[in-house]
Amino acid sequence: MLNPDLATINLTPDDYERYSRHLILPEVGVDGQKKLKAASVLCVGTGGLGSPLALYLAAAGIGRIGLVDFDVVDRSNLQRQIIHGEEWVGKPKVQSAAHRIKSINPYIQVDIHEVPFTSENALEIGKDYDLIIDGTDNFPTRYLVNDACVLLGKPNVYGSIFRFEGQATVFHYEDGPCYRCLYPEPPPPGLVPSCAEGGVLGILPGMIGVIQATEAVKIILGVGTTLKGRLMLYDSLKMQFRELKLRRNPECPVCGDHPTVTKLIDYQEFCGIPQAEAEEKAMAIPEITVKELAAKLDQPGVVLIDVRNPNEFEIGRIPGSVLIPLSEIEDGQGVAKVKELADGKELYVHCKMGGRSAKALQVLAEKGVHGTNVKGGINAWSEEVDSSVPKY
Amino acid sequence: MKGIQSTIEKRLITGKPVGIRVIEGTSFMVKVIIPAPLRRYAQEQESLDLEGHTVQEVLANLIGTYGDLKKHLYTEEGKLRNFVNVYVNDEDIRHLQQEKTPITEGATVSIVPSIAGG
Repeated sequence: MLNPDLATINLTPDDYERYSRHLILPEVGVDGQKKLKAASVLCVGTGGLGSPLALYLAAAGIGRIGLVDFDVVDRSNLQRQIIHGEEWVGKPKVQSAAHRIKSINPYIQVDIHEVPFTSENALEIGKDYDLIIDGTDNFPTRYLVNDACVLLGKPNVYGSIFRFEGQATVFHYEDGPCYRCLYPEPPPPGLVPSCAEGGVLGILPGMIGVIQATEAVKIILGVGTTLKGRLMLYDSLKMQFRELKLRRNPECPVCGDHPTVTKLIDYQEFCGIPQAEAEEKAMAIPEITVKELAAKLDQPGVVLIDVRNPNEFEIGRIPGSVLIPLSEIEDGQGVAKVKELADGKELYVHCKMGGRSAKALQVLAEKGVHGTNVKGGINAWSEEVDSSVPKY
Repeated sequence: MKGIQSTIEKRLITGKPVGIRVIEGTSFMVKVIIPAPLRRYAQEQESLDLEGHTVQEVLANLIGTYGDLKKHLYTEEGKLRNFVNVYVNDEDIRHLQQEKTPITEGATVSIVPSIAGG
């Protein structure tokens, strides 16, 4: 709990030794370390942000750490998700993270929530923690974490990343603004690429996650000036920090003076991802498996377009494929190229995992060019057809 | 005429496209910061110098330079999108005079869209 009765908390001899460098700091001291010991923090997500922040919170002696994640460790996570190791590939992230935390600090409690964080369980899971840290990787879960924090009256320690840049702040702390005060609405699906599509500098979430951990510790200790009301922007290429002012919006639908959101909603729908519509759109585009494609490529009259970025094309390619990036198709100039290549031929389109190629085919279909999507993209090709093409 | 001249001179010197809309009265050159997710619609420019004496005019000049940015900044009804925040220096224009917020000499206009990676 925050502001616990310090007389009821004892530090053990091991604690005195382990936290010696904290105890020496007048701003922490024995009382501060007791506050950390009495505190509980929920980390939603154990990925790029969740990894470094959970490591530091564990080392700092936060008494109870909750971990929420339903994902398993993928080899492509290891470039940045430093709480996980090679031997955990294919195994649940929460188990991996809990194991690592226990090796750093066996004297703290780790609660494992191996479930997706949803409108159905968010309040139930969140209510048992003093503060919640948003280490998620998508808009629906970010709005869910925010609304759950407001409804539960808990601070939301926020961080997010994109390629070389990050943002961090503390939402809904004391009288400060919430995520919806900053961004009342999410962008439409597909506008902002995910890390899997857009890439991310592996070190970047370390910087932002450590800012989140720092803010969490400051809130628990009650020292310093938090990021409440300030949005920290970080640019790793320029190595530059900037800050912008945030204000609470009295009209905010969740934390405003007259809230209209008084319980958790359907965040997929709020973020414009109606399941049926998305499936229907995807359904309209025919698909082929990589094995079927391999057989097709031996035949004449077939053209395969790769819509990834040139640097991804450099990593590996399916023999015979022609590179026309999605961005070129979206801005129109690529459409003419595809039209010319596909004239009188069977058109197949692929990307890394199948998402961007489906999008390209939707754009092409609107221009009267029809083709088939390669399910699972080049990663499926690597797994099922030719492992000499690297999966990434 | 002075505005046109300086714009053309600037273009000749820097080789970069700059806003060419002529504005009556006093206008200033301001630095506009383009965020990473939108740079692909702005020829990968990180920032550019534009003229204007309100946010609206600066953004109009921005779109005049990079037309592809328009649909990412504005709705079809011409309203600034809710997930794109615009700051003059460190203040959100929603807490100033929205797009009518006046620009002062040397100001920085930042476009800060929401990102979600983690």
